[in-house]
Amino acid sequence: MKIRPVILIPFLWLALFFLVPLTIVVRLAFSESAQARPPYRPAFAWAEGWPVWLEKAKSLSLGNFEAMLEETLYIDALLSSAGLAATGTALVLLIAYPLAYAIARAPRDRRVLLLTLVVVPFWTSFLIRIYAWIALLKPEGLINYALKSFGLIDAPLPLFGNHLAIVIGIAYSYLPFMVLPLYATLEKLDWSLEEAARDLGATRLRAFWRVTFPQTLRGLIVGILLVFVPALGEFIIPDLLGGSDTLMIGKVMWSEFFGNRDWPMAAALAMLLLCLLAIPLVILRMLEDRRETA
Amino acid sequence: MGTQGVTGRPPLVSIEHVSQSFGSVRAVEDVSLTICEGEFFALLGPSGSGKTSLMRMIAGFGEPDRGRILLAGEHVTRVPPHKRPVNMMFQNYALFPHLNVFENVAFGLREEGVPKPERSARVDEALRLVQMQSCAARRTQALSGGQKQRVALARAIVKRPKLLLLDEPLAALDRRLREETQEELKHLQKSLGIAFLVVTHDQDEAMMMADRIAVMSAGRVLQIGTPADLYERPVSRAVARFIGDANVIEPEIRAHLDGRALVAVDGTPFEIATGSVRDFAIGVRPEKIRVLEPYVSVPGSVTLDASVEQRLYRGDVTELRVRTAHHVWRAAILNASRRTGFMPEPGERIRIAFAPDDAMVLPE
Repeated sequence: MKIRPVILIPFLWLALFFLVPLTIVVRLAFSESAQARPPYRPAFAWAEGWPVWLEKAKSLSLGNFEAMLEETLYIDALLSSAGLAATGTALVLLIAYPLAYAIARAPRDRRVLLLTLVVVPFWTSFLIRIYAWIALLKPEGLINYALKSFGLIDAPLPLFGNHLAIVIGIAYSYLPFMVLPLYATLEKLDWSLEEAARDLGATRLRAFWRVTFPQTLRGLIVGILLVFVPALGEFIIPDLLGGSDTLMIGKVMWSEFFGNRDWPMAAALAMLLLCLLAIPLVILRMLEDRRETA
Repeated sequence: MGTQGVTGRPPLVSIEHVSQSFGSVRAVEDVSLTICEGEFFALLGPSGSGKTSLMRMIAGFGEPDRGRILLAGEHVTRVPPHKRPVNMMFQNYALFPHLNVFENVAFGLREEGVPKPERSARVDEALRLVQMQSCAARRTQALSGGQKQRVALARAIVKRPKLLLLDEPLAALDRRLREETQEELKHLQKSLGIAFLVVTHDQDEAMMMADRIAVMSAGRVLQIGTPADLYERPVSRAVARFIGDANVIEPEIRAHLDGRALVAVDGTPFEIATGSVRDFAIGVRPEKIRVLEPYVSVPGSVTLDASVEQRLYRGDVTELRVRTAHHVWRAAILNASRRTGFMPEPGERIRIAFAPDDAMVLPE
């Protein structure tokens, strides 16, 4: 079989920017932290070579992973991250689906404009946009100020420095990642199918639910993954919008790495997160394969 | 013209002075027609003639700006599609890709709330009617064009509608399958007793299948009638040209007398029955024109000197393009008569003749 050189480019890319950093992280995760520079005692030295590495692998120090499971802080952080990411993803979905649907059904010449409007905010810095949300959400911020001056509330609503602020931040930041795959799926749909369903006795809503929605599942799953996965490890949003007591795995990793200078623990946490995220992806892949062969 | 059903059956659908515009485009203009129970009715016209818009209004997709639609005596102009006793077979079949054949056909019954045992019995029966019962568990993507068409048909008849709408039902099929399916559709319609309304741009299809045809153009109905009516007694130049071929000639009208007129073509006078019509063209079907050797004349016929410009062999007939003093004509010679008959070469001088009775009067 002849392999064309073009195909090597993505492999090279993956090797360079995924496999190499991953190896470094794995190596870190099995090391011990130390008062040194860099602050760890490597489990494997690059110079030792294969035979020594294999020998060492049999008696690996799982200390970091054991500590991770014993210390409830990490598990709590993980669970709370998952909860916040899931809530945020659900909110994104509620906003993105109708939006994508409306854009897909708009006249053809207007769709590009509408899509651009969804994406345009993302041309400015992420950090600046999150700072802007602080100005909106804080107790003396724009939203509370407006509500107060209309006489709708007496005391400012607790919009900032809590889980609500994080969910809003996630919903805002990841909207396009849900809108775009949903739009791509919806745009290809044949609308006469919805008409056929209505002709056969379904109301508009039933026609959507029984005909359109099932056909968009693939785009929906892609969107959910694109939002949920990065939201789970999100650091900036909880750091800026969440309170000091918010526990998210991204924040914990940050403090392990920079606060405690415990690089091996941070690396072990990153590995755990990676493994946990890989499980649903693998299951999904298997389900898809089965459906295609069915 | 012809808003009353002529088949002697009670009316099922009455369309009364219906108009519809999309922006500045007038899709349907003041259309009135009646479809009778158990009738096979065709809306025939070129694309953009308003036939699809009219059908969609009957299905409930799109409301008329003016006029009303009655279905079995009930005013349904503003009734939503899911509440109308009408089902439609879509042009691209619109089968649900995420459901298999059985589930596609069962869709409408499920929406109606038909209990499961009855549902599956009725789906089986519908699939049997279109000879697709062996494919019930198949995915729709795996079906051929003809099979998709059958499934779409089964899905549309399974709810036993009073009227079945078929939007270009055969357009996606190849020629041979199309002809077979025409006969099957006709047969199915008679055995089900459901009224069918077919929208088509194909005049052969309409002529083959329909009891009556409404010829549409630019949003208006030009003429409604049986296939024979339309072919033998078209009321306008447009219908004469659209249904079959016709030589449409503007004659010199010399005199009117007692419902007859004296006209002349290329200076050759003859008399035809015109009724009260004063201004008209005449239409002569190519197969009604006799092709003669020069200097031959046929008593009682209009005979004109001509020359052959072109000869086209078309299998069953040979078509001649001939020129007389002021007109160009098409004449068809049946190839079955070729051995005995006269077959001129291009450039040859000939004569053509037609009986005055074969000249159709086209007032519009």
